[in-house]
Amino acid sequence: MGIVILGMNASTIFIIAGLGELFSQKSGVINVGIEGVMSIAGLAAFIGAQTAGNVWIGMIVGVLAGGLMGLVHAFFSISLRLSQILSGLGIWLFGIGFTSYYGRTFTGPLMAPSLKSAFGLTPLFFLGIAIIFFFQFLLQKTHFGMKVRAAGEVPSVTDAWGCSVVKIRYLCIVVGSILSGLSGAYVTIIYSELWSAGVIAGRGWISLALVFSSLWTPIFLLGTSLLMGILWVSMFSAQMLPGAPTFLMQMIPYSVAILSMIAYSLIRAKGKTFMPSALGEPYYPED
Amino acid sequence: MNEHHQKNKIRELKKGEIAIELRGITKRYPGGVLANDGINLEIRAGEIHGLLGENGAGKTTLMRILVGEVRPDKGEIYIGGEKVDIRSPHHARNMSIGMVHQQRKLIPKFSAIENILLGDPATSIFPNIEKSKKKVRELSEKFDFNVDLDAKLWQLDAGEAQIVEILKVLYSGATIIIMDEPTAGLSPVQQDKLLASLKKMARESLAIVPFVTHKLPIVTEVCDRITVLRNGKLINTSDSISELSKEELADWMVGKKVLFDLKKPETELGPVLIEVENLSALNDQGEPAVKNVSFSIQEGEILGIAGVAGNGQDELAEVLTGLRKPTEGRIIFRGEDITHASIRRRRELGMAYRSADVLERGVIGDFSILENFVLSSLYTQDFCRGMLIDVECARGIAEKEFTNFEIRAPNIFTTVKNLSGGNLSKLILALEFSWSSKFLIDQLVTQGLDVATTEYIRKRLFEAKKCWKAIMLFSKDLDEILMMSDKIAPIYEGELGKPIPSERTNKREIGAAIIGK
Amino acid sequence: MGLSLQRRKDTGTKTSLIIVLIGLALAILSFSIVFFTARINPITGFKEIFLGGFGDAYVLQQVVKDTAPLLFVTLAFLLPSRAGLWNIGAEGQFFLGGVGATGIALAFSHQPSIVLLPLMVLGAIACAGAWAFIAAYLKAKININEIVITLFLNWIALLLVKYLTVGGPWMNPEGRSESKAIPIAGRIPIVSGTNIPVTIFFAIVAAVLLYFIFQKTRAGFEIKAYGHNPEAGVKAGINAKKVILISLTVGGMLAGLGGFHQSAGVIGRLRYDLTSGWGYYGILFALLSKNNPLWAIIVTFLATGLLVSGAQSLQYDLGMGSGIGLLFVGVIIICFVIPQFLKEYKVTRK
Repeated sequence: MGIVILGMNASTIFIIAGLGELFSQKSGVINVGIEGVMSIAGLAAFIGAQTAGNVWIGMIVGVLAGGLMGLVHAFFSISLRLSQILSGLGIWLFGIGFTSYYGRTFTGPLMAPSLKSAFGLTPLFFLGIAIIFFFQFLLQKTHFGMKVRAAGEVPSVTDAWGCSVVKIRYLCIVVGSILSGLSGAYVTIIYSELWSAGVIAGRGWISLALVFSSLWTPIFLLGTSLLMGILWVSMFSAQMLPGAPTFLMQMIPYSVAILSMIAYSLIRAKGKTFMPSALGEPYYPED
Repeated sequence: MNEHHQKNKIRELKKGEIAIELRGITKRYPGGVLANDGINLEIRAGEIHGLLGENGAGKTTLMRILVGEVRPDKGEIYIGGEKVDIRSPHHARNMSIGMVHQQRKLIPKFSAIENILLGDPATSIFPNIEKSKKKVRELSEKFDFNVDLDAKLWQLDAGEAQIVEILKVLYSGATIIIMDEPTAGLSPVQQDKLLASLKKMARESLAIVPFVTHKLPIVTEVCDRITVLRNGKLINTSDSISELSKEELADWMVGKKVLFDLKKPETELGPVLIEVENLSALNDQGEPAVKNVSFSIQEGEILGIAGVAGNGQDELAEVLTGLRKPTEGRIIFRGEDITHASIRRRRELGMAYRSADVLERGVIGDFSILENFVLSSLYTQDFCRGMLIDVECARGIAEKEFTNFEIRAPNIFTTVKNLSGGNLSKLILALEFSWSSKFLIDQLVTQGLDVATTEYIRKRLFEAKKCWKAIMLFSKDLDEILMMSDKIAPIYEGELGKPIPSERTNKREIGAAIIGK
Repeated sequence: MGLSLQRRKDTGTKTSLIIVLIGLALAILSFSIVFFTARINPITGFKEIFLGGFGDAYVLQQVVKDTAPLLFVTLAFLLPSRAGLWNIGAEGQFFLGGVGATGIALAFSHQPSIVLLPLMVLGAIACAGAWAFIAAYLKAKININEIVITLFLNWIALLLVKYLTVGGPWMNPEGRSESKAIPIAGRIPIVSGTNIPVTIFFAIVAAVLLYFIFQKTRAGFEIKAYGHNPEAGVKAGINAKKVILISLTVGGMLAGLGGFHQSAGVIGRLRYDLTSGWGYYGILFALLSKNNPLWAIIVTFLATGLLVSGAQSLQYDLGMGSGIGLLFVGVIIICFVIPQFLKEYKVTRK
């Protein structure tokens, strides 16, 4: 039972970051730099929390950092019409470099009081559930959600009927990055309560893979995140057992992520397209 | 200027009163083209006012001005007697001007009702789908439209998709409806239904402005008045349609005799080059698109496949060229069974293909003209023997064809995406003719091109025929097919009729066959 | 807003030059800011970078030595990139090259060089190629997103190396986190008078070969054409699966050769720090070389000097923290990415 609680705490990382990426992708923009956003936000949150001695301050700083990186990605891929992949890769590599250099003096445990949890279950988990349902509702039942989905399907048509694709995408990217930032902050100041250069450990990338394999549906993302969260902590606990091949076990989450992408691609090969049709394609409103 | 005020004013107009007035509309595009030259036009309430003209006559520009996509350089627009400045499509919509586009502006994955509601300013944050559906159904019944509102757009055919867009425009309260080529892509049955609905719509004091290229019979059947544009100028507006003869209309539109005088050369035919037996294939939605098609073509022969778009032509061409897998049947090309052969093998054997989607599949826009020549001859041994590319040889051939086809561009190193539309079409033809191909499949021979380029392309096709190439043409222009082909076969819903020599048939017969009679 | 973007017809050389200059200016500006935050005079900092890379014969030798693996990973990204594919997995393929080379070396440790070295090369190429082939096959068969797959394979590769060397089957009995030593017969010979393994020549030859392949061969043209417009390429008869499989797998093999160099030529054994991010440096260098293999040689040499050697010098001589190299790489990518929009657009006043 303890595993399940721990798993739910871990899944929160994927839920929140994945939702952020999902929302951005629904509007047609992919952010492969999500790992970099989480790293930067995580570091910012850590510094904020450590300096102020307060986890809430840290979270606010992390969220702001995430939003800022989102603004950068939006500016590059929308206003400058650059390749979304290139922009994302740039943000990721910048994130790695920036945090490994500027974070080195902060390496270590968090010196601030922890956030209280309910029966060991972090309150952010409940926040995660709430926003899953919020986005599911927003995307399917509101006019705004319809506009977002339209922008991700056929942006030219969406603009033709008066819904500014540029505005929609900016909003979705920034909101998405805010969530990714929140997830990164959660990792450093609540979940692990430490900072080190590789603390995100690929969980941003895993969240990205989960968006694909949950077919861009928030409810499904909840399911895949929970599974991945439980897997993640099971792997770590199993490592404690004597004789456990630790490194081989650590491969499991990444292997499962690969398998989930394969599963998604196989589903797609059957002809069912769930991917927003315009995902990743640059949009030129002047045409 | 209050837009609500506008809307109401229009509704108050009585039939016959002037709803829209365009005075002196002039628009010149950067590059010098004078698209609209001082056009004065009035559209009355309750009428269906057809706008005719060839491609390039200026109807598209005029329509885009009215709908807010383009701003005129000079001139004024009056709606309901008041001067307006239409700044954007959104703005136009607020003034109850709506447009139904030829290329549907709809989202395939959305349902019909979602498409109708998208971007509608009156729709609330939490749309009440059921209520909206009811309102749409009321509109549908009023005008005899019949479409499943919950169906996804990709499930609907061309006619139904157009209905969705019409409903979208009606739902947003448009009273002035502009329609771009409303009958394009529709079967004759659908066309009749649409025209009947249009008449009903006009009775509701709406003004309808269909823009048509040359579907004269439709125009005369449905329009109260028509206006003809040519080269940016308004030629004539006629009130008494019934008195006009087709010839008069055609004269107005083209200004000179339509070219029907290119003579097809008489060629001795060679052995059978390609033989197709019982070929069947599915389309992208998994439905049968090619049904049991059989035919053969000899060297030096031109086979024309006549049909309205969407009856399996694309899929048939794709199966022949290897872009699509057949479910049944055989294709024998130059003695070899190529039914499941790779695209490369077919090209090696001499099969060339000029497809409808030019820039996507025909050329690589970022490459130079020379590089595109290399691309089309990659496997045809012309200058690519073994592993290496003989660049000198390639240049020679490219230069030769560049001159032959009179492509207007600086040189063979020009990037292809900078070429104009007409030159691009010529280039694509050149590319597929430049190598030693034996068989050319040509879709959409000359649609949308200016007269000079069209004539040139037809001339080159006849020359190829004389050199014993076999050609397969796809066209919905019956005059063109009759003029160009040795044998004609109609295609309807994936089934190919028996090919008949063109001298033994006529337009009426083929016209009937392609609509299924 | 007062400014707007207008589509550009052609990118002249003047524009290309401006793009490079803007990137350079942004980079210098950013580096200066970084120096300020470390309380170092930027001029001193820049001087240190240059000296650290090209200041004397010793560092110059280091730079040439490091150019070999870095050129390999640069080419590893460059080749698939021409086909329109993103090989983010050079880091992992590099490791697998080391695994292959070390594995062969340890298995055939009693063979003479003349037998062992070629076998090791084959081992490196086979392992790294197979690693890349996983992604290549999945991409060709089911059109998987190769960015995500190659990336996860990087992590798995690192863990594989850790498994083998840290308390694993190849562990050095002296107990440190590294593999047993590669026998002398398996060490890459060095250019006489230096400590540079001859693999540098392999790397340069590989780059020149790639250039030739792109310019003159049908296979190279197929890759380029497919990369620019896959649909037009397929219609012209190009076999998409072949292009994808070959470009990604060969790319992986090139990265594997880098791993071979580093394990058998420099460190002398397999360690989990065989590379600490060089696979990602390769992405930057390839972008900077505009995907041109010949440019890649020069760019990699210069960039290795400045960002690898120079950065190390900043660490040791000016006391800047570790990770400064990675930071600079990240900064330069952003500075490089930004002005790219000028290729397609010019800025005009509305």
